[in-house]
Amino acid sequence: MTKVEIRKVLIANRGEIAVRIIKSLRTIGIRSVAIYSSADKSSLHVLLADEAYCIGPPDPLQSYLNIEAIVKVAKKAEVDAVHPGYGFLSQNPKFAERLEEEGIIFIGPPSKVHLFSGDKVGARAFLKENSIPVIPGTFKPVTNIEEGIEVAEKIGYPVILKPRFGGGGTGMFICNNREELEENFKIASKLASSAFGCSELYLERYFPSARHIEVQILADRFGNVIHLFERECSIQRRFQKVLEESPSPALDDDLRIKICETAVRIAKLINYVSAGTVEFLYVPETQQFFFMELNSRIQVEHPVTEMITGVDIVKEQIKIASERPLSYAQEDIRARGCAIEVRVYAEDPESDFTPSPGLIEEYLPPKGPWIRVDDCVYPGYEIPPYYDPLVAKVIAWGETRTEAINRLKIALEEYVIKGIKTNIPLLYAILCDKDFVSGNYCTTFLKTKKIKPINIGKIEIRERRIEIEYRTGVSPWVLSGRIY
Amino acid sequence: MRKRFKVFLGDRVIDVEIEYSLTGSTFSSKSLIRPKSFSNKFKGFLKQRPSGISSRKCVVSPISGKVILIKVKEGSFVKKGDVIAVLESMKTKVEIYSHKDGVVKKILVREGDFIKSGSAVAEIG
Repeated sequence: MTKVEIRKVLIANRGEIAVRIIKSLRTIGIRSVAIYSSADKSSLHVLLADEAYCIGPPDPLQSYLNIEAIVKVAKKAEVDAVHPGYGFLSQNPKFAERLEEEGIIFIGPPSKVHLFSGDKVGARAFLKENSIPVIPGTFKPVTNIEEGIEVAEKIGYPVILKPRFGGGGTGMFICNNREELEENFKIASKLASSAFGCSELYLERYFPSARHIEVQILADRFGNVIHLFERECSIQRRFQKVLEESPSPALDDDLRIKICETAVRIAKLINYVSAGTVEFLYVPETQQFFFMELNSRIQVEHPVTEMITGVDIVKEQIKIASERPLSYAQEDIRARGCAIEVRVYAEDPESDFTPSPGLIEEYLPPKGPWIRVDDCVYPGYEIPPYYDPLVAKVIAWGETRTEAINRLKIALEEYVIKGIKTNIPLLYAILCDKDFVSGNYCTTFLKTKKIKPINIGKIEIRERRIEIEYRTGVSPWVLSGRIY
Repeated sequence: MRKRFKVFLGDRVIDVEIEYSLTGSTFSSKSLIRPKSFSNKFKGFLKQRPSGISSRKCVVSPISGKVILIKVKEGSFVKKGDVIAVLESMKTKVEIYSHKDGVVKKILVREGDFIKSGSAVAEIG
């Protein structure tokens, strides 16, 4: 077989992930092509890429979700491959197929895997047949409320209603009893049809004290599948992850190996290729874990795994796409220490997390050993209101979990973002919470604990530091060699 | 990089352009807080009482976003805290509330409009 050579890659995404992908492309000598909507012309990914093309107006449907416009640019720029990042078109089988037609490589799994990961009900049924533990619930779409009630009585309340072709935490409803199920059924199917184009739903048992644990896997085209250990993502708000860490404080070594090996088995069962994540629900009381879903793309929280294993996941994705075998065998992968990531969102924790787009007046991210910041903003940049509110991810590594928490806390103390509101006070409060520190938390942590955001002190010191920078006219940005 | 701002003073609108220097020092909000020359120049404006769009009469959007739903009709009575409109911003729905009791005199936006933060949404009399 002749080897495929990837020399130029288009990034069909924006924000911090586009920036992060460009960084990996640079280190392996591949040219990068950015696409952007008219609202993003001064975005960091546009400034950093080797080439950049405007593909349409701010509305994502006409720009980052516009398959034809992206394919047109890919052909014009003569790229060999397209990296979809996460969100947008990353799990869209039509996009992957369309690129294949044009002879352009889609950096991700083949389109049939997308069909598997897209149809949650089909995936559940298939895995159950292959004796993988799945959450008790329906294995066929629930079409009417009577059917739903029947299943719910059998598996027991509380139950959760989910859209068959859903994802990203949208359109899910927890029902504690029959009345709530009846009430939510109509709303859920309406929402599913408007958000995902299919009103079909399915039902699962809901475990309030469960933990969300996922396993990062890498699979090449030669049938080699390895795992890069787990990530725990139980700190969530409205089904959106806020903090992720690895290793999970909930697992002992036996369970860890068991979950990771199950993930590898699932990947082999469906002939998975590329980087992916197998999500599990872990119930600590019974020490049971269940398959939840498969994410066939790079994930927001991938840096956590990169920090503990030293593997560049984007680089491996490109290697797999160029039809080369993985750089690692399973025994080469060693997890070292602990890494924790927090997601900095442009939202106001004081007023019910309303979004806070706007002009970044001052910006100085934390730096230093064992701190990684994946961001996409700079002073003078205006965060547009059209896209998601993720501003940056701050990841800290430590030999122990305590050390990682301390480093992350200091990083957040140093973080200067002015002009917009961010959730940093909430993130800081989570890191200070004694249940979090002891590793004793579950997916309802933020909902039940009602954590109060902590406004970090030391503001005076930080302001003085910035003032000095302005007065001396030396920008830390210029010093660090970063462009803008 | 240059940024354009609109300054609303009463019913008058002034276009202001501010340049950030990117070569050395960065933009500081402190330096923008009304230098003396600025305040002298615009003293006249500041003295005028607002007559047209004012935040007292109008419901003002706290953030930028797309108007996806208008919940009230012109002529209907609203109470303080009632939802006037729903915006979509950063993939989240945000409700805009009335700041006082009164009758909706005029709705100043349409569904589908994109509005900036500080824009008037409706006039309440």
